Amino acid sequence: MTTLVLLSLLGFLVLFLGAFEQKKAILPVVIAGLSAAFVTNALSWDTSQTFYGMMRYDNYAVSFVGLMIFSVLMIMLLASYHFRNEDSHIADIYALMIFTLVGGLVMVSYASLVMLFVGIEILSIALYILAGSRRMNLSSNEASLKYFLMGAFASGFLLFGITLMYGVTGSFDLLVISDYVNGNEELPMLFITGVLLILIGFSFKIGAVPFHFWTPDVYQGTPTLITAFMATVVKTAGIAAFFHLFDICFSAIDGVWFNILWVIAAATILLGNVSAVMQNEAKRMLAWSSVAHAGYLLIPVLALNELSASAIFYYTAAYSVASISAFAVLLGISQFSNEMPVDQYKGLAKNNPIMTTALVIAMFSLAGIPPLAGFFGKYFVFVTAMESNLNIAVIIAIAGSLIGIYYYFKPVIFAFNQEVPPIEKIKGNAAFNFVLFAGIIISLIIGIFPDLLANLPGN
Amino acid sequence: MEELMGSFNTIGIQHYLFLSAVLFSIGVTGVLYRRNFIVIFMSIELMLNAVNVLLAAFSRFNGDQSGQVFVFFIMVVAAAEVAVGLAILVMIFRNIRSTDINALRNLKW
Repeated sequence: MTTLVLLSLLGFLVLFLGAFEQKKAILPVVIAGLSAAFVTNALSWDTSQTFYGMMRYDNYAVSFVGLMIFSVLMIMLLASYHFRNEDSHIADIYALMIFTLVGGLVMVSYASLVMLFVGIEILSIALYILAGSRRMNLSSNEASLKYFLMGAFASGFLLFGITLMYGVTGSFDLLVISDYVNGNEELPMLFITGVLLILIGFSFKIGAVPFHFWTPDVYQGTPTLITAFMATVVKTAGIAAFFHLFDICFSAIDGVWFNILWVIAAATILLGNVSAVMQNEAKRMLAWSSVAHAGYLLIPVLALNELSASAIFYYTAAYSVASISAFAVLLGISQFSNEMPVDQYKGLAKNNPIMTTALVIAMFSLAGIPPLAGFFGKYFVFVTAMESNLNIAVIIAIAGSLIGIYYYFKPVIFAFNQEVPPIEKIKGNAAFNFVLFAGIIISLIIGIFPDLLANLPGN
Repeated sequence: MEELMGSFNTIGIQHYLFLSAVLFSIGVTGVLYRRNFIVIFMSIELMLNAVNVLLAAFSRFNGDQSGQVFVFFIMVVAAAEVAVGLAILVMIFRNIRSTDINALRNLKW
C-alpha cells in the first residue's frame, strides 16, 4: 500500500517538476522515487495485508510489483538516453509511465473484480496516450487509435463478464465468488458466459490468438521506447492478473474454460512464431515474438497447479530482462526512425561490441538457449505443464521454440556480417550502457542460478 | 394507473438481461462494422452503458449496493476514456483530415 501511495505521489511530483521547468531534476527524482518504491515493496514481503477487501498485498503481488518497478526503472534510463537532445514533454512521458505502473500494481494485487477493472483502466488509459506520444507521426497516431479502440472494446467484454458474475454471486469479492464456485455443483449459464467473456477480455489485453490482431500494428507504430514498455510491464501485469483470477476463482471449474484456453495457447504459440519468421521488420518481429511469449505464458495458467505462479514469475522476469535489452539495442540503432528492417543490424559487431553482446544475450535468452534465463523460463513452464499432464501442449510449445530459434538468430547473424555498410558509429551514454550491462548480467545470473527467483511468488 | 404499476412489477431480471444483451450486441456490431471512428467510439460507449444498466438491475435484484457503486466507477473511467479518446481522434483528424478508419493504413500485416 505504501508503494501504491508512493508511486502515485511520484507521478504527480514529476508532472509538477515538468510544469515548473525543472528538467534537470526529473530523472534523479524518478530514479530515487522508483528505488524507494522498490524498497518499500520489498519490505512488505511476508506481511500479506488485505485492504478493505479490495486489495491483497501478498507475496505474489510483491514479487510481480518488484519485477515491474525494475523494468520501469530500466526503461526510464533508456528514456533518458533516447530523449537526451529533446526536451519537450519528457516529464509527461515519465509521469504517464509511472501511472501505468500504478495500474499494473493494482492489477496484480486486486482482491475484488472492481479493483481489477480499475487497475486495467489506469494502466490502459495512460498507455493510450503514451502510444500516441509522437503526435506528428502518423504511425504513432494510428497505433494509438488502434490500441485505444481495441483496449476499450476489450474492457467492454471484461465488464460484461464481471457484471454477469456479480449478478449470479451477488459480490465482486474474489473469495465470495470462489466460495460460490466451490459450493455449487451446477453453475448457471450466466456464470459460465461471464467466465468466457472475462477470458475474451483478458485474451485481448495480453494479445492472445485470435484476439492478437492489434498487437503487431500497435507495437510497430508505437515509439520504440513505449513498445518496450508494452512488451514487458504491460504483459507482466496482464498475465499476472489473468492467472490471479483463474487461480483463486475458477480453478474448480476448469471444464468450462480449459479446452478453449488450450486452443488459444496452442494457436498463440504457433501463429506467433510462424508469423515472426515471415517478418522483415525488426520491431514487428519482436511484436510477433511477444505474441508467441504470451502463448508460452498461458501454459502455466492452463496447468494451474502449485508450480504455476513461480513459473509465470520466472518466465516474465527472464522475458522482461531480455526484451528490454533487445529493444534497447533497437532503439540505439534506429533512434527516432520508423523504418527498422532486420538488416539494419548489419555490421553492428564491428561498430559497437557492447550492443552486440547485449543483442546476442537477449536473442539467445528469448530463443531459450541454455544457460540463459530464457531457457530456464521455458524449462519451468514445461515442468509445470508436465505436472498437470499437458504433454501435447508442451510438444507444441517446444515446436514453437524451435521455429523461434530461426528468427531470433537472424539479427545476430546480420550483426556479425562482415560487409559493413558505411554507418556512423553508434555511441550510447552511461545510462544506455548501464541498461545493456544490466541486461547481460541479469540474464546470465538468473540463468546460471535460477533458484534466486524460482520460488519467489510462493503461495 | 393501477394496471400500469402492476405491469411494472412483472418486469423481472430477465427483461433487463435481455435489454442489456441487445444493447451490448448492438455496440459490438457497431464496433465491428462501422468505419467512422467517432461512430465506433459511440458504439463502445453503448457497450459500457449496457453494462451499467445490467449492473443497476442486478444490484436491485440482489439487494446489494456495491453494484450501483461500481456503476459510478464505470462512469468515471468511461469519462476518462472519452477525454483521452477524443484527444486521440482530434490529433489524428489534424493529421489526416478524415474520420474514416480506412484512411489509416500505415501499419500493415
